[in-house]
Amino acid sequence: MKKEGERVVVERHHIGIRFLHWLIFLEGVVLGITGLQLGGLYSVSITEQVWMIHVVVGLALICSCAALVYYLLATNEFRWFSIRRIPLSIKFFIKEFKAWFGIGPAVEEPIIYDKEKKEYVEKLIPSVIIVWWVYVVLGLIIIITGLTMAFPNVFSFFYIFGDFLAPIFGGGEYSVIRALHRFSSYLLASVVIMHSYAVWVFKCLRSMVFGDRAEPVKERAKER
Amino acid sequence: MGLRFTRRDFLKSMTMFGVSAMLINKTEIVKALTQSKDYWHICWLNGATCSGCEVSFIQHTDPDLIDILTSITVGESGLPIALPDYMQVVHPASGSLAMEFIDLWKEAKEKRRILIVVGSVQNPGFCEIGGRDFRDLLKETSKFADYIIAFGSCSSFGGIPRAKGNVTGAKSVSDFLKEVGIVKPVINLPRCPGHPDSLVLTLTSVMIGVIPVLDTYGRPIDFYGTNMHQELCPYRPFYDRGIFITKPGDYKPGEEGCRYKIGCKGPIAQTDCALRKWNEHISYCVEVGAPCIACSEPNFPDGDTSPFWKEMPGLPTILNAPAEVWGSAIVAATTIGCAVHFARKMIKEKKER
Repeated sequence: MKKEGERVVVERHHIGIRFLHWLIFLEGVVLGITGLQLGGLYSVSITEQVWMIHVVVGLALICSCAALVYYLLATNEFRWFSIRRIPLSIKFFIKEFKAWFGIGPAVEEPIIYDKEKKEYVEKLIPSVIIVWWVYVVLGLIIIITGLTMAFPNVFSFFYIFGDFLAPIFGGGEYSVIRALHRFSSYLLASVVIMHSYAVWVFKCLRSMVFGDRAEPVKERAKER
Repeated sequence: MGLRFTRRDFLKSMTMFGVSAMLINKTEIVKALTQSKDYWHICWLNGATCSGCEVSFIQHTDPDLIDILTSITVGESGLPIALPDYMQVVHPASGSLAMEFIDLWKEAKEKRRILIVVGSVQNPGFCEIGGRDFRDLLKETSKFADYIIAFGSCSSFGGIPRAKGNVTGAKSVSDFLKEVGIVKPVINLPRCPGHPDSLVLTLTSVMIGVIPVLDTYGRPIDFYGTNMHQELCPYRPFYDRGIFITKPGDYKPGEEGCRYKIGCKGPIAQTDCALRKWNEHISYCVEVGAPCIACSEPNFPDGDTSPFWKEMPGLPTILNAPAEVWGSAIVAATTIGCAVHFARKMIKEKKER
């Protein structure tokens, strides 16, 4: 493991980001549970208003996600999630993967804070960038397929995709749309589990609750 | 619903059922009806069919067939406005005499000839009537027909005879007409069997000079413009509450549930069965405990509608496992992976200490 260097407590996540993060998490949990009940899966039975809750919370989730993206763009935080950083993210993910299976060295914490400039040199665990974009892709699939099922008359044009995929996958347009919605939801749940575990391993959970974190400070002397 | 309607009541009921929706205003209905006071000639052909559609049509009520034939007459002549010149399963004539009625129908006044087809069209040799191949008969009559109506799922889209595995090359009337180069619109009235209301009301609208507005599959939107699951199903509240019955008949009065898990195909069914109902508008498939099989849809009985009595299929199944099984497996694998990593991390840290 890397030798523990100097750390400084700084605000990692602004209150707005934290609020939206946990709001989206909560909405996701509600959607997951109501989705299971709506699909008649695992005998889940929570409420009798499941359809209404699922659709309303789903629409609220779309608004929350839009607000989060706007917030990230407005505060220039979105640069950390830039598509151009995906190669770096993949490299880091491979390192994590090797370490995970014990075929590579343990991964050092990549977050660095510049104490003098009072800004981050690297704010994220790079694998989060992949996670972010996977969330975006899966989220879009889930939103589009969900809207298509909930409001078939309004979003009927999306059935064209179902119609296009049906001969490849079998079944028909509706079942393809529904299966995509379900399967993407499961994939999203898997990514959420990985994300949660990684956050715990890298000790980042506290910062998403209280905002601050003791960040590793950039070593100036060594740099010189 | 057992009331006997007079002719005037019948025309009123037409308006109620939605025929007026196909017109611009009521003045036009009156005008159209005045103009339509002439005999209409119907040729009813049967291809690959079980004749269920005829049974369904004959059982039309409010008004019933007798009323239609005796009350709606041309002026004071006492003759019905629509003369079924040729109808294989009903007319009393047989043999070559019956076949001659087709020629009579062909000679009828122009713009007054309606061709109704029941049953799908098979490859040559699979269906012969009066010593003639059904395909030839259909091709010939189609050339003379002013209006072509495909009644029932088989003639509309191929239906049961076109199901996977069939060796007869069964196809819909419109596909057959395209194949033989006849460019004429076909009004499709699918369902298995066809609903008598849809045929009687479509005939009425044609006779008063109104061609129904059709959807992309050639179905009048007045009958097929609503989604069973989204708009009409009385069991939809159970779906919204996530209450399902899991076995046919596995419920008691007062403990109802959505039929989705026993294979209801309502979400893909564009039909008004739940409103119109059957057998004197008493009941329909879902109401008697069966799931909707989406017999109004073009891919019936394949595609999304198959298999019956099973929840709609999902993405391709590997080892017969649907999307949720693979999804569950991925979630479980992720959780186990995290748990293993956690255990190894704990052991490693303990050793280091």
